[in-house]
Amino acid sequence: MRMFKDTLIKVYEAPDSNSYIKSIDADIQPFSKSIAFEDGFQIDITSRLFCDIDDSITEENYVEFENIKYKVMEIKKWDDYLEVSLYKLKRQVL
Amino acid sequence: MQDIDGMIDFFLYEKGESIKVNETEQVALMIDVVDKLTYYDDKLIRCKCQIKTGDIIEYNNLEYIIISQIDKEENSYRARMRKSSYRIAFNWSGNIKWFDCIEESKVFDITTGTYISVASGNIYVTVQSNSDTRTIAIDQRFYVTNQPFKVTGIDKSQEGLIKLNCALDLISTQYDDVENNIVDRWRYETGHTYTLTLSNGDAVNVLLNDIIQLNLSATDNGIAVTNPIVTFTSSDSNTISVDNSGKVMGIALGQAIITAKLTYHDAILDSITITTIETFSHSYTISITGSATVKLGQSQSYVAHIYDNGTEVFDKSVVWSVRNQDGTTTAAYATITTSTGNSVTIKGNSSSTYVNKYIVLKATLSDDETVFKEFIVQLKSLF
Repeated sequence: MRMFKDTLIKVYEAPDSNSYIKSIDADIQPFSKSIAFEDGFQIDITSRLFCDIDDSITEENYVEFENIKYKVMEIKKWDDYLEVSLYKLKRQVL
Repeated sequence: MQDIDGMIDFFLYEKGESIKVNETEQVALMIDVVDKLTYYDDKLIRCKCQIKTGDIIEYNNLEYIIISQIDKEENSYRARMRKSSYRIAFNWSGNIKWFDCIEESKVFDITTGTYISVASGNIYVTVQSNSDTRTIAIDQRFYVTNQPFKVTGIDKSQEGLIKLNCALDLISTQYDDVENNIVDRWRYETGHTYTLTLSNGDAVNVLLNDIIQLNLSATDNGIAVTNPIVTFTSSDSNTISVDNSGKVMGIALGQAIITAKLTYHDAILDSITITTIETFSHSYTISITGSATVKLGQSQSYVAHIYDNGTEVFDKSVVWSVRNQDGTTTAAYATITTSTGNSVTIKGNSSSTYVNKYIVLKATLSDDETVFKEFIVQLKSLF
């Protein structure tokens, strides 16, 4: 798949900046989708991230671009790239 | 629908709320139970810390009790909790302990799936099972909203909870503190009635940059309290300042109200209006001390204290007079027998028809009849 990879994103293990893992280039696209969780919780996906396959991108991790942190919610692993659904954190810790 | 348990850290970070579990700070997900609207405020709680049935949860300054069994998942605990209706006090021989409780006047019948109203005057009370509540016994009493109840049955079958079956009981006016919902309080404690009085009058003047001392007296059940702990405040400390010993200073021209409160009983207070003036002018006030009753045929003595701008002076005198409060003049209910300096003795005249009548004792400044103080005295029978 042809990607722009025009955005440098930082990958974190946790929402705080002390848990920085690495930076990678990625393509960020706007997206709109909701994921329903038990007990009535709903998580709204507002962005999708496309990048080369990288083990540091997991569903436990967080990413940051343009000084805003996002939680990785879902990962689709295609042949040669990842499609990652992102939730914009309401609590932003710099 | 996705499971929360695997992402509990993220959910607690993003949507968690501060709570206290048995007075320990924690973070939890709080979910309204919206299956149907009922009288009860039930919520689901999910957290990483261990919770148990009967735990007390403080959330949004309200107390909840966990009423369900605990759903233990791999990373989190989940349970249903219900808002505590009241705090009830049990009294063990003077040892009063308060408990959050859920009070119900109807119960849920699990066989029919409906609510059943219990007989009028009966309630069910659910409390946390702990070392104190496990000692609650049959016939022990407590109050809910100023109504006394007696425990008639105890159900300890649900781990973590104790359910009390209770029936309306009779108020003990002698021993119960009904106002504060505490049974048998006055069987083990002495009630206190405090008074606090500033004796400088209702209003005094102070010179700019000068200091006057406020005089106060406090009583507990009519007995003078030595060195009462009092807090003084000024309504305008830029005009009048006051320190903790009751010294008042005029800072700027103007007026302020100084309030004195018993520090540990702040409903007991007295206040005085202080005015800062540039030049001093005399401002006399009189207070009268003595009994508010006099028995027929017996005597009582009274003393007039004269204050000039709140400071007691001794170079002035008063003229005493007495009259019937109801305005009758044909027969005086009491007469002045002796008057020495600023003291006077009056005697209640002997007639049974005077019982419970009132007289007015008046002290008038001898050189300024516009300055006077009246004191109401009631006549009482000898027995």
